[in-house]
Amino acid sequence: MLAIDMTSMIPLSVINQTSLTLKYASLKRGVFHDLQRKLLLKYFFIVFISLFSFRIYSYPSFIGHGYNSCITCHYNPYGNGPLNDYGRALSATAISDRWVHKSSKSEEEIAKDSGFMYMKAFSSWLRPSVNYRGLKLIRNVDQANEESEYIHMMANVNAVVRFQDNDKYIASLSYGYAPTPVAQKNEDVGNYRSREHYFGYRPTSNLGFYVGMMDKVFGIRVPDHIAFSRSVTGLAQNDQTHGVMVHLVKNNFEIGIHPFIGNLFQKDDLRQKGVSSKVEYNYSSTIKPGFSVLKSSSDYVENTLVSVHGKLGFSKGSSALIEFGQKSQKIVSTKKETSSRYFFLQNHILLRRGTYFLVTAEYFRPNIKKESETMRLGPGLQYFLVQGLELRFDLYNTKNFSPYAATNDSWDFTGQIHLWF
Amino acid sequence: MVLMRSLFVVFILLFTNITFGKESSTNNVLNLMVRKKYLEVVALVDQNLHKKSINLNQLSSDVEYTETIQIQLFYKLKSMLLAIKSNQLEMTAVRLEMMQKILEISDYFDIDTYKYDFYELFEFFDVESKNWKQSQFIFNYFASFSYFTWNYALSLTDETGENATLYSKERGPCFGGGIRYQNAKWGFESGLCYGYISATVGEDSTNIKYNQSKVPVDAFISTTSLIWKPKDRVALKLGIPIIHHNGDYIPPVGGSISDTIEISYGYFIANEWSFKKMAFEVSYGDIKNYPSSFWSFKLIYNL
Repeated sequence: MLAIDMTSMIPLSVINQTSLTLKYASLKRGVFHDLQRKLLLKYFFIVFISLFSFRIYSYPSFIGHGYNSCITCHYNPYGNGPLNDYGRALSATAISDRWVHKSSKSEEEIAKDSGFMYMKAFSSWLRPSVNYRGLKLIRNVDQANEESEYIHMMANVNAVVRFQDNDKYIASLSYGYAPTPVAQKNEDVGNYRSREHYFGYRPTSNLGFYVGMMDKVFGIRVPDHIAFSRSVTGLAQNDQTHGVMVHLVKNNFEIGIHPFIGNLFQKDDLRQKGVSSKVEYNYSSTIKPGFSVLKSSSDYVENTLVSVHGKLGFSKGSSALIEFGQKSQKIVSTKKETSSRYFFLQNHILLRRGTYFLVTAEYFRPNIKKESETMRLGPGLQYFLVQGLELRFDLYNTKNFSPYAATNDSWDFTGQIHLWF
Repeated sequence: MVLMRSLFVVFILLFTNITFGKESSTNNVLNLMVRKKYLEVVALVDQNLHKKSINLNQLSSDVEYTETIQIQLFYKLKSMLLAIKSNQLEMTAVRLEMMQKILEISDYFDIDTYKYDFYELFEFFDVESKNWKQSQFIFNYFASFSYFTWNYALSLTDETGENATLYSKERGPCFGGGIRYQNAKWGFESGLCYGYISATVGEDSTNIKYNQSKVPVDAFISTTSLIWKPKDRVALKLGIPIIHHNGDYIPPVGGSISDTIEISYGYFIANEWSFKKMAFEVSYGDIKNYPSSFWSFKLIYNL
């Protein structure tokens, strides 16, 4: 009945599970179409959510979810400002917590209901949205000189006009409130302004041209505008410029070139005119290194910026962003040049859907010829309660180092609310 | 009719259990059914051959198994997996190896009607073996290079007998290593490093003027922490650092500096993310009697 050759039975070594996987992979291919059907359903869902009208704010840290290019979710290929339809669906179904939804509500239904004011798209050519960000700032926490204030960081209305369903031609406009900078406290700087306005033309998915006012292409565009990588480089929330931006994706390289003529709402002599460029390489869906250069000048100041950066995804949803850069600034009248260096590191750990623990570590040396340095480190918590509502809390501990003094640390706390509908 | 009614009852039982999430009970019922089938098949086989066929050391792809033995091995595997899933059987390294062997040799089986079933079992096994492997605690050693910074407090007495507190702002590299005992979710870590640190000292008083930079400080830093891994390549830690501090401060003429040597302790939180054998950790904490926070940036190489 049995034909077992007992002499040929030898003890087997521990079996490599990979070989098993390969053997069963061939079985999968040949016999079972229902598995393919499951995969097709997954792809169908991705296509499905891309058909609806959405707007969202996504961040570079979402590389942890496998999204390593801003254009996946934004109309602007370098992020910030209005986002495209796919991004909003992604935010509702993968980024935000789903506790407000009934457990029986499918992800498809959540995606469908997450458009402007939680509605379905009412037009194929217009994507309106509103956006608010408020900040509670407590400086010098638990010190005698503690100060506290609430700042309306941004209150914008946005509209994107889509001249074709495939976003080949778009026009984007964001207009709204911006707070008066502390340095210009007693001046009338005008609190209502255009944050960005540009026309975009993408003849192919790999090539795009954008003309108008937008953020300069440089480094990692994190939302933390107090980060040294944004504040000392002149790349913060109010530093948009008029120009032409070219975006090219080829052979895993993502290249942006951005000649600009300054912000035309500023006086002519203050406008920084020049060019910036960013080159990134898609090593994988979760590893993306790159470098940036910027050269600009006005009648008073000449700026040269260089930086290298890396965006890294870890596990599902967790990430690390790293940027190291140098800025050289020359005062035209005195020919005096000062170079500063900065380092930025921020990591996000996905604790559960919608909730991230993050740590931001920064370094800044205002003059590389001098020994004074500043380091800032702080834990934070970011919570996407629901599509359209983000809460974030950060504690910043700042240390100043100098060979001439040993000063005590300072502590600041920020609590942010970010609404977008 | 009786058979139909029995089947209906079994169906309702399974449906109810699955619906209400009582998966384990469902597996128990399924396991009973599978074991019954297994025993039926075993009864058809010569008992000596049956014993040999399920002997771990004799399972081999070089052996030509009859159809009955092949079916018997299928039910054996299925029964084991269901029993493990419903916690009736504990997964062990030996059982894991046996199931792996059955799956490997099943590739050469000629019972076409069971091919898909074997594939399903493979996926089932894959999940169970992964869960088991992830639950196993293992030891590993690591080497570390870190960069620390903190503020230290000193007491200065000048030549007039005036006392003042000095801040010593300290930072520098620390070389060391440690040991970890961990599984995929939880762990425990203990490490030690030697730091050669540079300090800048200044007064916290308007009555005394004192400043000294690049003061050499030796420090031994021991850390013990509990590890939680919300995801496989990222970790959060809560730990206790113990620091032995010894600074070579130069006192002012006619005065003295005290508290240069001290052992202190505190707490820290840390997050770590890893890539293959390398890991990077950022820690943030507080040390007793130190007038500032404690930071460290650590590069770890798992040996």
